[in-house]
Amino acid sequence: VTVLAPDLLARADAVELRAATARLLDHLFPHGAAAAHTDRSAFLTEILRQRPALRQAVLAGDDNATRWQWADAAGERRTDITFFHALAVLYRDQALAGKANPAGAESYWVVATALWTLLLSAERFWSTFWSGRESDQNPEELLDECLRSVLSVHGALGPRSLASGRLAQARVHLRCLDICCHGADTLVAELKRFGVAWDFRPDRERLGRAEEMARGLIDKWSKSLVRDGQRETEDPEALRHLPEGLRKNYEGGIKLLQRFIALGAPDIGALCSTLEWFNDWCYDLYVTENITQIKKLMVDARQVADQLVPRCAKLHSFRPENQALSRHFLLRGFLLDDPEKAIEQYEEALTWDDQNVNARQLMKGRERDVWMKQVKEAAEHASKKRWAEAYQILKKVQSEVSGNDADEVRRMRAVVTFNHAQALTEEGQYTLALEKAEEAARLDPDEPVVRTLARELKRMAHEEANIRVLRAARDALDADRFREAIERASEIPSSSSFYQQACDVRAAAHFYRGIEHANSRRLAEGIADLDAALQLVRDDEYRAHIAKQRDAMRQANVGNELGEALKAGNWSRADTLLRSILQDRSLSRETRRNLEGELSQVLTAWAVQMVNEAQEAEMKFGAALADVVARLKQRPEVR
Amino acid sequence: VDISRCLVPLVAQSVREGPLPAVLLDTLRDVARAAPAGPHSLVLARCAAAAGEAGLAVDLWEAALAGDTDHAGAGRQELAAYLCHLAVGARLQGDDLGTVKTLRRAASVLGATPPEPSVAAVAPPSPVIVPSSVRSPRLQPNRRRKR
Repeated sequence: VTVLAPDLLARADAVELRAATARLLDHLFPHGAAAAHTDRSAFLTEILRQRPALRQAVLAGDDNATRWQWADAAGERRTDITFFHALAVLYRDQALAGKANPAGAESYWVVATALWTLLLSAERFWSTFWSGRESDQNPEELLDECLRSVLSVHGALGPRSLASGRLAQARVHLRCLDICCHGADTLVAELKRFGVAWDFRPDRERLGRAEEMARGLIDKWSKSLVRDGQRETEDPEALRHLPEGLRKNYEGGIKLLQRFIALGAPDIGALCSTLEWFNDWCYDLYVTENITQIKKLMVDARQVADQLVPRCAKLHSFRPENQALSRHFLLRGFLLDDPEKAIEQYEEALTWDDQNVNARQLMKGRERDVWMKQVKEAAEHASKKRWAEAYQILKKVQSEVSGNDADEVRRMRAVVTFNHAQALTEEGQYTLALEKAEEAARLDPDEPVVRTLARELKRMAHEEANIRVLRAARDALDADRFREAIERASEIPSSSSFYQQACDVRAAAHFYRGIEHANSRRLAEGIADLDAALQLVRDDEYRAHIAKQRDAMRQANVGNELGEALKAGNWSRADTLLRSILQDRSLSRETRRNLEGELSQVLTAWAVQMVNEAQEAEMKFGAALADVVARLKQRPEVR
Repeated sequence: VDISRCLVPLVAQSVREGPLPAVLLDTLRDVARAAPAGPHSLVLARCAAAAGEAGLAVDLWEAALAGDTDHAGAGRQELAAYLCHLAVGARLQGDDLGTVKTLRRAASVLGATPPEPSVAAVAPPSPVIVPSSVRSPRLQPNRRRKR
């Protein structure tokens, strides 16, 4: 046999292409089934034939170069619908062949499903593959048949995978159905995610048909699970072992549906049923007052509700999912301690179902808590004399409440205004205080204390100057500046209603100054001050006290003078002093007795002195007489 | 003893009985290395082929045919046929690239020019396009643009 060189080259080329195709398949489907050279991959062989650089990269095992070259080749075929068809066939083959391989299953299933759905919705596909064919089949029926063969595999394999616990596979099948429900953009984005660029415009009607079919399959899957869940909640065996107060085996039903929800693309039905069971469970626990358990359950319930919310419209309050959400938000509010946050939840509950009477009632209760809290805050401000803050809060609260609540807030405002008036009164700002007292009286006309204060203040307002002077006098007195106190208090005229208080201040100043004088041995000045104090004081007890002090001072003063008079033997002076003291009728009996005793002694001493003086005079007279007689005897004429 | 003279019958005898003894194989290599290219190389190449020493055989064959410009001649046809035999062996072992290489070598023996390996197998990465939303500066509230 003669061997020919061209034959050898052609054979070498064919073998190389076959090897390159197998390697390209391995590159595109690293988790796929063993690559087989079939008609399905012939388009890859053709691309490799046309692109030596790709062939070289593939044969050299250079993954990066292969990726770029492949992207370039695919980019060149962006307008070639047959390329995408071939790719879709290949992806579906790989997905079906690798059913049990979760690692690659997602990308193969997603790309296959997205590509087929987009292909079947593209006019270019039908015009390329269907035009010119003679068939009696209705195009719509044909489309449905094609879509069914693309999508029903997920409707069948998904539930089977979930039931057998192969969650990764179940998730992929649900995802494939889910992406078909979200329009062309989602499908194109999914393809892009796996490196496939799609540029053909889909026919909206055909795509809508695919969406409808995918939604129907999810719905069927979900409904079947809900039915199973319902059976589980009513399972007689499970019911027998339930804790007291629980009407159903909610946990069993929820667990079943939660596995489906955890797949990541749940439908409204599954979410709604799960949330309803959570709600019923919480209500049962509420009846048995097991709040701790409700709080625990609400953690999972919240996750379900959060997924349900974006799938529902608030306007449709009659729908079961809206009502389930409304009850859920009510429970959220019920568990919150902070009334304001709780109200937010009740409001949310009412936006989902405005007929939720329970939410409305609970919200009203919490609204009262809120404004009571604010009123307390206002009272706190008022107690620290932060009046502006207190008024601002109360004004705001009053604008938000109505009916009995409004009356209560109004009375609270009256209390704060009254306190403000009292504080201003203490500061001596009677005019301002009067304004506040009158405002308080207007806010709460039935409160007698407020009216009394207003009346008092009316009287005091025109004496504001006198009161200021009186306060200055008092301050001077407190600081032991007695002279200033006396002078300031003396400025208040006798016509003022504060005249007596001014007299009291003056009396006190005189008294303390008198004591100060006495302690400095200036008894005369001290006595004068105490006399002045006695002139001013009306209170008998106080008067008696001052009088006692003054008497003591006087006694001390008289005692001093008396001592000097006695020391000098000036009995006449002593007699005068004692008699002048005894003339005072206010002397106590004991003092009087002592003084009288002392006078008696003075008089005795004086009398003795006078007798002594008489005797002395008599003796002097006798001596003088004797002297005279002697002198006379010596005179000659007398001899 | 001129071992090269008795080498061919020894190899012929040995391969009939089984694998070539190592000592004979070494001798074959030594002789092939020492002998000048020529008709004798063709005999040695056939011996090497018979002994399963494909690489040595092909080298000896090509050396023997170096001066032969007749691409359709019997010598080249024999080498091409031997290479085709090797290609089938590689194919059966699943070595596609070895098959391709051997077939192309056979074609080359017959005067064909094998295809040049592709250039620029590695393309530079495409520049990354930054989305416009990332490139454009973010507008800050309460801050006016400088003119």
